[in-house]
Amino acid sequence: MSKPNAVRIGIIGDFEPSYHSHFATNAALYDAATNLNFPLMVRWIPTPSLDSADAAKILSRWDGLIAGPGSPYNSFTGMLRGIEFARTHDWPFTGT
Amino acid sequence: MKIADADSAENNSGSSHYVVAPLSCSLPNRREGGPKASGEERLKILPGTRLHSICGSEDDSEQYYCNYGVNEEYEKQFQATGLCVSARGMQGESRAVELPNHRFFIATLFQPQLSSRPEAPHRFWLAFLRAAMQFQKARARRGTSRVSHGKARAKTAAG
Repeated sequence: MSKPNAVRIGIIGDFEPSYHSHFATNAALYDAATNLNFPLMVRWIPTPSLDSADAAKILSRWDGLIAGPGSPYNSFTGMLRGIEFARTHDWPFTGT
Repeated sequence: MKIADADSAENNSGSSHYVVAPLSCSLPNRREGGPKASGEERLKILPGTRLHSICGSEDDSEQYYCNYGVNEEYEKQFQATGLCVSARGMQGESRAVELPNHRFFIATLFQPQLSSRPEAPHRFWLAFLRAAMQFQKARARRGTSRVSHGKARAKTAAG
């Protein structure tokens, strides 16, 4: 379980454990949080889950959003919805 | 950009507007068997951008692992929406873009996670997490953990 005040980061993408870029994204985030000395929670948000009316509700749970590497995505529409949400709602966002 | 059928060439949709297209050049240090952009590349980070304030210098070197990038034919249209280029490859190609008036909105072709190390996390990720932490605190002060859908900030016409 995460600590209650953990910074919550949602990575939009279809996690594949064998992809080095995916593993490296998780690792870099946890290493950075350790360096900054604050608790962190990271979860991947599957792109098909955002191709729905609930997209904004799902995305607003997170303090920061990342468009994960690894295209083509299972749902390109879901990925675009995630990016659009971050852009139009001024949510911390990066895509790498 | 108000282009109804804008797409990535990777999706092979038959669109007449592939705003994301296969990279035209391979990186000089391309890994054998890897995508066109794999391995390390020197790049220039543009002064005055947020990325520059994060990385602290104009000259940088980053790791890549990708085949597609911004279709340079559309760069001006991207910029007209408010996106600005914040890093360029040595041939002038777009390598990172950002929204200047946004809390934190930076997209990179390179992957700073590939050169981040436990003992030396990449500055990009430190900056991103700081932004997320500040945002979390700001939301807590406002006493809301949910987005206010009626107050969406339509900052640009990108996307």
